[in-house]
Amino acid sequence: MNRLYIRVSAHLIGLIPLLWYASTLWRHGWPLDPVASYTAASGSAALQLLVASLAVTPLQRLSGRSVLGVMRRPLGLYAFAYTMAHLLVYVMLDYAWNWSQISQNVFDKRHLIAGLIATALLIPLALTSTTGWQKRLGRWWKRLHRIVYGAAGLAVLHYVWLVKSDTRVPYLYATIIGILLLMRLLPLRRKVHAQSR
Amino acid sequence: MPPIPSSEITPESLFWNRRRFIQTAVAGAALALPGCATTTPAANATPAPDAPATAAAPTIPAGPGKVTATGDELGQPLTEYAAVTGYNNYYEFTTDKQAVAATAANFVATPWSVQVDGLVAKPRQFALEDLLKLGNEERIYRLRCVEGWSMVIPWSGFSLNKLLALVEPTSAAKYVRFETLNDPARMPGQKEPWYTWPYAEGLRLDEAMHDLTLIATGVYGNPLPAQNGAPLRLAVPWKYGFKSIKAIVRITLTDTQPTSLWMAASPGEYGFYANVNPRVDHPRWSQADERRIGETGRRETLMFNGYAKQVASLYTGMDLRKFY
Repeated sequence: MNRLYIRVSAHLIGLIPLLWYASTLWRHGWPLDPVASYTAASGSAALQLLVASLAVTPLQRLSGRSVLGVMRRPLGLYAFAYTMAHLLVYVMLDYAWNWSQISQNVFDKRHLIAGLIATALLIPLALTSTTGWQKRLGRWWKRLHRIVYGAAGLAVLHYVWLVKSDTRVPYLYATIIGILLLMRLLPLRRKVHAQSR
Repeated sequence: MPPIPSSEITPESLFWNRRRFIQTAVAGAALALPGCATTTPAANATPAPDAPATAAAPTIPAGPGKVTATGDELGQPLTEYAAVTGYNNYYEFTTDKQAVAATAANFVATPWSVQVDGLVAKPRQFALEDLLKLGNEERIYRLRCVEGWSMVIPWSGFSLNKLLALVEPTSAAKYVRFETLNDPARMPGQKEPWYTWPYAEGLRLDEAMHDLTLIATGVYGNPLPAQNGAPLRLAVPWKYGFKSIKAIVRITLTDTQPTSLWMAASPGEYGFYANVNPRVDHPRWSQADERRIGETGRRETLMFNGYAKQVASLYTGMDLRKFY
């Protein structure tokens, strides 16, 4: 029962950015530059969910409740879904499938390269997120999924490099991710860790 | 079933905008009374019978005024009124482009005066009313933002050179520096310490004297609303939008190149010239294409924003990669 509640709340957390965006539309009306608005909203959502998924393990350790681990997969998959939405907005709406314009941009601009690599890194993680793959890969699964820190770092870099001037928000994400990573690295290993999974 | 031509479909933004228009109209009506009482105390006093009529703030209609053109000289249609007056980069109010209009709604731009000084024979303080007499031509200009989006806007106003002629720049004057009102109480965005206020911009004197360089006092057939830079702003169509400084209170002729707010914020990224140039990228993003507000997909960005014929000669022999 407890597990079910936790699972449901993971989905609720995953849907917060979407619901928040819907409420923004309700309050402020349709965006006058919809493409820019969808791009920013999907990008922020992807980063927020990535942070949320990275927070699961530290939360497990701090609270001593290993059951929280069931949140990891849905949160990670929401992050992936928002990333795909972000990419789709760029290709489909911003550049209307104009590959010559896209390629002219992507391989030239560091923030786009960083974003593209971050996205590419998330693909194998999403594909191997099933219990079946988890079993098949054994201890390699965990090693593989450490890539998520690389993806998160690149996603933040993508953000830092694209803002016009004010870098405070992207650096806030960088700080949070840094703290979460530190919490994992510190030898705070409790008994519960051994039981988790 | 025959396909519905796209011209018959109400654009999504227009559809939503009608709703918003009704909302604001209702909100506006509710605010009108206390608004009057707090902003124009003079209205409550009984005026002497022979007193001149107080210059009331121009009421800006909720919809577009009279505009004769339907597009620019390249045949590109005007950007919707809702976007021109509802999607604004104006950090003095907020960095949220779509919230500028609401944040600036109570900004009262009258009375207003502009100090014109520096290397001129006849420095002078101009009242807004005197400046409005300099002309009210309709000018359809493309606006290309450095961020990669663009609009086609029907401004009205007069060429800056008409104003400069009145003050007579001396032979030592090489540049013109412009400054925005500095009043954090009326412009809440100026409380944000990230930027060095007030907003400042500059032009070379020959750029400032060019006929295309416009002092805009109106848009879409109406007086300039607060969110577009009331009561007067610059419109330099061949340069990135940030050069077109809003709510100008001071114009100074100088012999040294002015430093703009954006040059100060990030000197490696925003130069003094800021000419629209698809071949010189922003260090971090491409300037080769742009999204016209209201469209999906991208248009190719034109050299000098499509005004090369008129302005390219100003820059002959200059390395535009160096003088970005």
